[in-house]
Amino acid sequence: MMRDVLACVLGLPLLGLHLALMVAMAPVVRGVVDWCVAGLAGRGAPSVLMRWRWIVALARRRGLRAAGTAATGAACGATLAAALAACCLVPSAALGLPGAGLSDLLVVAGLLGLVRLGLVVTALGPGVARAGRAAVSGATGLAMMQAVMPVVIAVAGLATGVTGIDGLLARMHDADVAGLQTPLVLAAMALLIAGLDDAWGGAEAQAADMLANVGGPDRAALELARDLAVLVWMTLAGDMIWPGGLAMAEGALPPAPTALLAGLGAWLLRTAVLCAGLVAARVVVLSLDRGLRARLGVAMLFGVLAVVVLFAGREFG
Amino acid sequence: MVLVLGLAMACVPALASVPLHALPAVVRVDALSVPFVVVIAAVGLASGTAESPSTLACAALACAALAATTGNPVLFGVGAATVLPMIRAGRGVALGVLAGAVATALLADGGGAAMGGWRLAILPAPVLLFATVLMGLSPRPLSGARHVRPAGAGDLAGFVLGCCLLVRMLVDWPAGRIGAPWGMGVGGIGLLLAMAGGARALTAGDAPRVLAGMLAAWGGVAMLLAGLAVVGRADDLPLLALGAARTLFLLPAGVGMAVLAAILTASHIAREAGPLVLARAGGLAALMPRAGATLALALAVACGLPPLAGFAVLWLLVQSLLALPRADGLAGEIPSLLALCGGGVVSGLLLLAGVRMGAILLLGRPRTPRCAAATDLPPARLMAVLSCLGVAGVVSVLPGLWLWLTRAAGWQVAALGAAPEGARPSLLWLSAAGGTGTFSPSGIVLLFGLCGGVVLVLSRLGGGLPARPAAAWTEGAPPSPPWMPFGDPATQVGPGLFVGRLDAVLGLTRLLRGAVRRLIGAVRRAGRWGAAINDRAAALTARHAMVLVLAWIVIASLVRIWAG
Repeated sequence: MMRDVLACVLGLPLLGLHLALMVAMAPVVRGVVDWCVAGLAGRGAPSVLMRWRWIVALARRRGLRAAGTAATGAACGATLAAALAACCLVPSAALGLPGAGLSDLLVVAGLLGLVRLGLVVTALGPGVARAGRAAVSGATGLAMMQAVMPVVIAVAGLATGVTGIDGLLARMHDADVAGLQTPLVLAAMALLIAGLDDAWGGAEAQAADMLANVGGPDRAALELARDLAVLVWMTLAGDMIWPGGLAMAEGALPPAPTALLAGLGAWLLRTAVLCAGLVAARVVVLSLDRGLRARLGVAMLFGVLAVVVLFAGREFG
Repeated sequence: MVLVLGLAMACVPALASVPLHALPAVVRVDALSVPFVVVIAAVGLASGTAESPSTLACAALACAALAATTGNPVLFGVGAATVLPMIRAGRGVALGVLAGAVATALLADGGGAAMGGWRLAILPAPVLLFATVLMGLSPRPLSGARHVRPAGAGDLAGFVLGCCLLVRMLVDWPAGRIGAPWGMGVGGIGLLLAMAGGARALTAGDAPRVLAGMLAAWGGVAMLLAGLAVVGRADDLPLLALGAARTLFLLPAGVGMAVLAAILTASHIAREAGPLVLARAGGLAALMPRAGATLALALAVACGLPPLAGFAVLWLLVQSLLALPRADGLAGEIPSLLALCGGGVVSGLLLLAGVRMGAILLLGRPRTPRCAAATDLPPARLMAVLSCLGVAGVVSVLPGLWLWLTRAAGWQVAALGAAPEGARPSLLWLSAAGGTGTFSPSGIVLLFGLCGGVVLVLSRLGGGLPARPAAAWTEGAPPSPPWMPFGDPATQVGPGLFVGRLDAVLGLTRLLRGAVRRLIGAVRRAGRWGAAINDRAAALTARHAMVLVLAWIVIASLVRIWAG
């Protein structure tokens, strides 16, 4: 009991640091992706800090409340709260932080679905057609991708015997995962394709349609929540792909500072690699407009492939 | 006629097997009936306070409560068969009563003590049919006014009694263990029916029918869970059976009470704002904030948003499917993977149906004069609804409390005898059947609350200016003409948009218009030809009966002579 309390007290500053880093990095990561996409497309590349500046400027502006949206006013804050809660549950640099026992793949996917749903509800508030069409498209995508999540969870459960994120990553960190690495990488790819609604081509135009009637601090909260959701999906997928980079807690004590710094570096490296993959996917393969069905198909393909590779590895050595 | 026949079939063994002095022992509240009786009593209390409760619904609830308390298969069958015509109508009821009579007759031999062999082999079929009709499940994916009845409080009686029936007749009463293939079959059919229910909820035209579809989807999930409990018992996996049973007990108490709250709120709102046809109603959140918030919360539980009771049921379902026995490598894993995908599809359909109903009814603008003139309900009229929602909320946040109350039933389903002292379920945590994970709804609520508090404090510290009210941007659409006082429907979000978008992405209509439609046409043509051939054969036989008999005698004689 005392040991748990001690671990919790010592881990709280680390959790705060993790949360602050995630919040600080989320708009930067989106800025990096947009910068790369614009640069590769030959357009003038905006600064990577542009989104941060925009969010801060929005937060300082006077809010705009369209007629009929009084009921959805609280949805913006709740959406940001759901994104922050998801951030707390996905480890970035170290395992074993306070609240790690709450983290579960399905719970995190559900919280990130709530973020998407908050955007949808806000857009449907005024009841106008253009924002409504974009919101319905978002809700449809969210509902369709629900079919992929259980398959990914099945892969994690079959491979490691646990579906809790902390336990899963700790098991992969410790054990010999030579045969499990490939299926979990494929499952992480499926998770990334199914979950990342806000980073594909056309997502910006769709979000602009959805949030056309929202302004001021509400808009700032929703934009920050969108960025956080993208970063949480990328962090989760990155953790599953390379769990070795995470620092482990030593009993009740937090990880050593050097291990923590190494974990932080590994997180940045994973995120950078995934950003590069996302840019490549946005430029080369998929756009949002016609890609919803393709995304579902590709995500399901990755999930099924992960199961096949997992069992092939078990049966043939 | 069939009803009378069914009841007679069920009653005849009862007269022989139930001695009169044993009657008090037959009608009793045992551990397994507690989860269901408590929920039915709560449903009765909540719906009894409505302004004009249906007498038939009250009678159905009373009969359901009586049936759930019986420890005898015959009386249970009679009770369930009595409830059935009160909540359903049509040809399916006769089939259901007949199936129930058959199932009861199979179980009636001394309470199933001497049961085994061929009886166990055919028992799940009538039980499945009985429960399907009792819970209003149907394979029809589209919701039409002719085929789907609006949900009422009486339907909850059928839902809860259907769950009870599945557990009693498939798990508790049979003396032997029903085979695992039957469990897989029941689960598979349940999953298909859940998907059909979700599709009906998504395509329904009014709010009560959306709720009927949602209730059907959860009924299918209950059937899947009963199938998992059967598999767990058949394959000696008590933890799987225990996990499935606990999830099945959580379903009526959490989701059932939330659906009841939604049904009652919708009926209250309909009295104020007119029929809740999705194409015409709208904007109720601004006009009826209290009722709107209650309906939104009830829908959030019923469509499985985290970390509420619907999500907890889906989480436990996924974990139970992961705990299924595995054999033969990848090939043996395919059924559970398909079931997991199916569970995801059900969850997605429920989510989209809930968002569609909530967004169209509560958000946007009112579209009819009566809707525009609706006033909010006083808190006193929402007391019963809030009580139901409170029960669903407590079960959502502290599911362990409900599981602790029903722990003996779970152990009974898992065939583990009496619950050991140290093996009580945790109040705060839900555990996976296979030990693959834990889920703490209260922890997630606390985390969510802390994050919400941080957001609130930061927004207060930021000292932002109050929001400026403005007209919604109409994307350059011209102002509505005078004969459209509630705006041009083409510039608003309608219920068809949700289904249309899903259809456009998946191409379902194209599929239906193509191969499936041709297949259905071919089957119908074959049926017509078969009927015509049958008619002609009957007419020919009637006209030339004597010649045919003589020909048959000649042919038989020749064959006998030839055979020696």
